[in-house]
Amino acid sequence: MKLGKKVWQSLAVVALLANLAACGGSDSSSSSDTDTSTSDSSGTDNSGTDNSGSDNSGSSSSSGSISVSDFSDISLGDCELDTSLESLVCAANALIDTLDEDELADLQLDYSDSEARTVWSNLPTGNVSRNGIELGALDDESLEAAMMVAKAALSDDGYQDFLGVIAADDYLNELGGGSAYSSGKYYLAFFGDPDVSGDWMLQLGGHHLAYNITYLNGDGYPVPNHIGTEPKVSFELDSASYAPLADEGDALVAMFDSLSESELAEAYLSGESYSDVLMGPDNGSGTLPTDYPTGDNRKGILVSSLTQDQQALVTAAIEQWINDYPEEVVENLTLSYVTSSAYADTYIAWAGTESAGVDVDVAGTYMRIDGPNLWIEVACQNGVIISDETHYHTMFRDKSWDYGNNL
Amino acid sequence: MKAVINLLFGLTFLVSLFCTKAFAHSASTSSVFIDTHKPQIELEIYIPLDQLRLADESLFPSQSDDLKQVNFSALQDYMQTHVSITTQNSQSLTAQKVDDFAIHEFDNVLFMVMKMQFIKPDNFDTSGFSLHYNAILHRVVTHKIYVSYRNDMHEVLKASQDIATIGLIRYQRETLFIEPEKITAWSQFKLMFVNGMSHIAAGIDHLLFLLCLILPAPLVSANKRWQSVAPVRQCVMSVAKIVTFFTLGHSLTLALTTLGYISFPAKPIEILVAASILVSALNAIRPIFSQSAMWIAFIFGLIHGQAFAIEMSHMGFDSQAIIVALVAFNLGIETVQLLIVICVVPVLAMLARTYFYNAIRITLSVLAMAAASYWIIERSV
Repeated sequence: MKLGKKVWQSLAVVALLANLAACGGSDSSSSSDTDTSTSDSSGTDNSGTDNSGSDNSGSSSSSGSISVSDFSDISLGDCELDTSLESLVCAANALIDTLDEDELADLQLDYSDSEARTVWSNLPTGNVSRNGIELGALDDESLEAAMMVAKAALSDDGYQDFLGVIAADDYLNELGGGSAYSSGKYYLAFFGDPDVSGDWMLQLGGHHLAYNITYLNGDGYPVPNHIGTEPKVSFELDSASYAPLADEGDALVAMFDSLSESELAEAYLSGESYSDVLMGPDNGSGTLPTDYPTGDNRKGILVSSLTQDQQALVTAAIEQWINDYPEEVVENLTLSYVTSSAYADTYIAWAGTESAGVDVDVAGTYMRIDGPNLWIEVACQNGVIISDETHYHTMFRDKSWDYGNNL
Repeated sequence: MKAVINLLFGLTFLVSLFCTKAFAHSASTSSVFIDTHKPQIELEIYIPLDQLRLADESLFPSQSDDLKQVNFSALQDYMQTHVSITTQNSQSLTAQKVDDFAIHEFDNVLFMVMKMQFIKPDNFDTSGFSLHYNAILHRVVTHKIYVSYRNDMHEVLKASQDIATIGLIRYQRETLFIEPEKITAWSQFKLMFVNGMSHIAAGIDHLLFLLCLILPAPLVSANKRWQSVAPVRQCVMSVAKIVTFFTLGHSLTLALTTLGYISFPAKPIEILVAASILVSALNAIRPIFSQSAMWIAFIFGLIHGQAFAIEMSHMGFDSQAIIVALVAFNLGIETVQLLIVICVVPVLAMLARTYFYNAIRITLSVLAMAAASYWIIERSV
């Protein structure tokens, strides 16, 4: 009986302490209530204008990815018009006609919103959300119309590169890269109304892809343009084969391969290492970048000091980028890149392991064309999913005419 | 404990940072967290080791591929060379010390974590300073360094929600002007309120003291013994008096000490806090100050207020912020105190009507005395 009383007492003590602990516990737990929303370090304010595309629960194909090979030979049909810009505007309006109100609100954005216009990235869309409608969330009719817009905005070469980049995401997914990689996670946006003579901008992008094409009174400015691809070598998906940046990479390598040993040494960026492209995403800055190398920081070998044959290889490399767009749309801009006066102020340069030479299979190899306006750079990074191979990140910019110089 | 909180905080924030910034891509970024509210300027720096080796191979042993083999003393010199501060009156500061080195792995990337401290000169212009930073960047021109505010108030919540980014250091942008962080009075109030709550909820000695003080509240003393059960009304009144006077006492010394009017060394205060538990536990066994319980609560409140002030002094506020911080911190303490009283007193009042309350009261008091004695010894040596 005595023992029983003691047990009772200790039980009561335990109960009291437990009560106390529960009391304190519930209070202190409030201090660990955390809101995981992260501040955007880059100063990007893209809330509200994007991201809602992913909410669409419309009839999309399985797992959000799209059957890329189905779109390799699409024709513009009724929108095959006299000029490529007419065709593009026709295709853009055809797409608009297929969308419901919510989708239209995602697709059509305010041209004067410079900060939104400068939101794009090399990263997967889970890391940086993009403007516009998500391709993988569209119904079949709208998806085909959206692919026609891409086809009309790009040249045949450019359109094949586009297909290759989005197919590469499905390929990475197949290799176990996870749901972050999908051909469906690419986005299309119009800033302003598509028009053959008005001012508007088309944005098409996702992981490793950013087309920012500004149209000012009928002239196109296809910059800034980021393309990357992993793998950088040819790969197969649904029995179609892709190698989106192989031509671009090869053309730059051919340019450096034509240099003599001393020219190659002169073109080498000694004291500088590149883990990525230098002039990467604008992160919603709303302004043109102002930190290109200037003065003595512009390094490399002058194109005008090279032989005609070597200069022809430089021109061929530049053409790999500008030929991704319909000629008549971008010729006003791009012809200026390859003139002799431009070449008198255009440097080609490379970085990486000097002893290895310009070898794109070595991580850290970096190649650049730096003109008075033109800026092309290619960085070779270790793969993220295919980690024993390098992959490309590239930038094509115009120091004066990014976004049509109209932000 | 502080180190653990630091680590947790850093981890949470870095994970969130890298999820948005550099996840899935191999060129990792550096992060710098600046505390502008401390007497010294403190930078906490996260550097990806693979990029560091790309920038300066000589920091690593040539025969090893192990990034963890980085040479710490060479790294100290390296950081001194590549990180400096210029005050508004063009005075150049180099770090007084570079320490607290640790290696952490986030998202398969190894980061060197370290702290750099700069002493503010006497004529320091508090409106801001320039940070010059080109570690890694001097060589790896594509490197990016995210610079954010960071102070102990953020640590309180262990969350990134109130982390404010200052800017990005990158190619041709190696200098960043740092203004002292503007913390609104309201956000500061919230932070300090929560801090006060968590402080007392985690401060077992303060809780134990409070418990001992109210343990005999349901009872009436007679002949130097706790005898009959008090009516509920009387019980509530006596608890209210005790808590109010304890609160008045600790608010008074917390305010006076924090505002700099009085100052006591920490060690005797900690011992006195433990002694106050011993005395109040004794009182719970045999009434030694039953008539003047509220004044005893007030006097012990003065002591505990000193201890709260010591806790608050670790946070480092400028003079404008301190009033808000003080009120919020104190209110946070009172809130938890009140919640505990509301939870415990009804239970005590009920138990007091059972025949075994005496046993509970005495057992708890003895336990509290044991703990208090242990603390007295521990805090004396």
